[in-house]
Amino acid sequence: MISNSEVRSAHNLELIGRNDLGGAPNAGEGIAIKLTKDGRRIMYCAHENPPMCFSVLDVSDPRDPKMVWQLPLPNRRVRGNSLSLCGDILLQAYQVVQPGDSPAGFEVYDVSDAVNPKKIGFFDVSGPHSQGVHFVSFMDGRYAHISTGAPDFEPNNQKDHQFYMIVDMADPTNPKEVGRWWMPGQRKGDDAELPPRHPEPYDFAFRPHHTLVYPERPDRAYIGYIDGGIVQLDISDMSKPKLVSRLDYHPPYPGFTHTVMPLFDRGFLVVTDEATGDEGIDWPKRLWMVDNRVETNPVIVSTMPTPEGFDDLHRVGGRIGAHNIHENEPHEAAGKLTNTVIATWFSAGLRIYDIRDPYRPEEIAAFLPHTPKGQRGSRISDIYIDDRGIIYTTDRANGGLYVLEYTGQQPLS
Amino acid sequence: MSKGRPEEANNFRLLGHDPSAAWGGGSLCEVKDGYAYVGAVGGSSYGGLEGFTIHDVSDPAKPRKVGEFKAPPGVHMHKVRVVGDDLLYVNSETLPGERGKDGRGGFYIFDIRDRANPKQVGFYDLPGSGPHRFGIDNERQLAFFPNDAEGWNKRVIWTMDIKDPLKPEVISQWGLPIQKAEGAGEGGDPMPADTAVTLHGPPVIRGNRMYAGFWGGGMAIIDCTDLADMKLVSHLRWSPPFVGCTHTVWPVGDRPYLVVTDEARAVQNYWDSQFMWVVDIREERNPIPVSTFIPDREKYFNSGGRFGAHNILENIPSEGPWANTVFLTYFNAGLRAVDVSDPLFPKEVGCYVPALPDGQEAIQSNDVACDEHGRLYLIDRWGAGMHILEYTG
Repeated sequence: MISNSEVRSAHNLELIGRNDLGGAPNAGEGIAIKLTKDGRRIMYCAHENPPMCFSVLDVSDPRDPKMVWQLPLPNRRVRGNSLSLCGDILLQAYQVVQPGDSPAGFEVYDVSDAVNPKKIGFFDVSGPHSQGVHFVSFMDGRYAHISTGAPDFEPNNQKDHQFYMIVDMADPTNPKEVGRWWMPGQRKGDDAELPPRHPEPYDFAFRPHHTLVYPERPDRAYIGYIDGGIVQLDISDMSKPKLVSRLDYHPPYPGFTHTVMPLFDRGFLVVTDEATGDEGIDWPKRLWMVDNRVETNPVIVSTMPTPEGFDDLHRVGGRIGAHNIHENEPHEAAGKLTNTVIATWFSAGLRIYDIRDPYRPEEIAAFLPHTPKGQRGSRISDIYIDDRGIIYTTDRANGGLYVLEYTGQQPLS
Repeated sequence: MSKGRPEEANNFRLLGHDPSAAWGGGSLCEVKDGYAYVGAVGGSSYGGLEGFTIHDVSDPAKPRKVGEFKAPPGVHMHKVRVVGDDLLYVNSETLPGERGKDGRGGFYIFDIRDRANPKQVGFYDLPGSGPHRFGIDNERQLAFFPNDAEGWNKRVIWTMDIKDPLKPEVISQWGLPIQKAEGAGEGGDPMPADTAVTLHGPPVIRGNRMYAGFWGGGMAIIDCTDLADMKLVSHLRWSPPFVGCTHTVWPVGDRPYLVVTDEARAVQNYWDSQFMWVVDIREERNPIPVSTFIPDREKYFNSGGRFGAHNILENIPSEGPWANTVFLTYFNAGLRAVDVSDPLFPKEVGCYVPALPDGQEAIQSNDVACDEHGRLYLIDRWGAGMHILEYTG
């Protein structure tokens, strides 16, 4: 039963389901839903810090999500921050705290039996300077696009330990690297120099976060390269990715470009900057609309409105600012949004924007739960909307999974 | 004959109207001691005379024309600027093509001690097709002319010392590095294509920085500590994909933000181009556009003539009752008052669209001026002339 006492404020969104993930904290980032042959919807949800790696829930009845499987991490020195599903294959990232430690890489699961993932392979990137994989994307079932370290990659600054790699999954038991790209100056031995590092506390590093490649445009990679900004690569020759453009708007903004999601039909990118600072010291971390009709000259045209009540929420402490959005992965059970953006804002909750007019994004729905016990402020961190229009959002600390239904007039499209 | 339409006003009040300003079709206007000088657009998407008109506006309810200067054949004199207390500079830009072959490019110097009766006391010749919208900095005693120059392709910034305004002296000519020419360079293009890299609007100085719009070449931030040896600090260009025509680049008071307009041309209207931008220049070597302002497109786009930005009142204070307020002319959307206190979210706070006279196809608000009483002078280029307004927002 859902108690509305859990809802601090809601506009056009109704809380219809909850799951505490067995008490496991740190839910998200990385959510995917599989539609089984017998019509069940099975959700895979990564945990971004120990003790758990990922959880599997049956969300066929969104009002009664049930946990059906859960995988702990092997130890507390590793985190499973990201996962990606394509057909019957699930990839799960492993990132270690200490360079050189293991397991560092990504695990390959066969999820043909959706609620019983079977490990069938592991892509190992462990090495003296490697901290493993932070992000995995696997949309075409053939190539994985990841943010990773490698045994042969020594960064000039250890903070910049990850780069972009393309991995051939033709044999999922034996993934193989086919190509990589990093920012010139990132790797020891490069002739070039990186742009000036952001001064503390805004040095978030030059490494990729989201590395998105969509089947409708297989020759392009869209990367939030954190302090490197918006990176677009030509990967028509996957062995030699080439820079198309890099838009760097920080400074004046603090940094941490996280997600770069193309809206191909509309010629725009939706871009997020992740809030990582406690007390919201790194504000403003926002979402941007970027005109990308000329991909060598992307142009910022607007930003999503600041959530109402922001000043009060800011004072609560904890993170506040943008993070994830629904990414339009081509899953059967995923929603596809081109006129709407659904975004997570940590202690400012979940917000939905109407972007039909890209110059004037408008907030049309909002959800903020009461702060779960044991944390300052909500930590709404990741989101996924399914083909039925059901919205799943996770709290990065203790709150678990919230399932929401949109009740607004303006359809989500 | 098209039927008229009443005015549309929000936070503006009409004080007076003089349809004869610039023979109905005007451009730059300046007001001094109760006299308004209005440059005419003439044949540029209108069918009026070239030259300028003078109006007694001491009683804003009863403005009346008291004088005029008709241009000689072949030139366009649409930009007038008061220099010091008693002079007026007016551009002499040759008309495009055959019509301009006998035109003399440069600018007129008029003595306006007798305010209603300007007397020509000089002419400064400039090469090529002559200058477009020039700027005068009376405080620093400088003039900035967009004009062709030897060794440059298309118009560049001529910075002139006007301490002796009867004898302007050239300090420098400065263009974007991409304008540097092998040899003499190409000019003589008074009506450049939207994508051409050319100085079109008025450069402006704040501190030791000059800001200028280069049409299809975007906008530049220039270090003008040494006016004779200016240096490019940064350059921002959003066309393509946007249609060019970057016209005015103006700082918001003393804040690290710029308001930029892309001018709507006569050729076609664009649903999503040629509007006003706000640019974040807190990191001046990395200027970033962050927001835009466009009046209600559904309402105005199809109401005839041009729809798009053009000029602003060339003063955006950061203090006082008009702090962070941009007065923006938007052709068939008239005059819009835009609050840029929050540069990420420009907000319309007022508008004035003059009544459409019977027989005129559309309002085409082209330029806006101000006097020492805080009255605004809105200039139409398709026949409606000059509207004197009070902003009540």
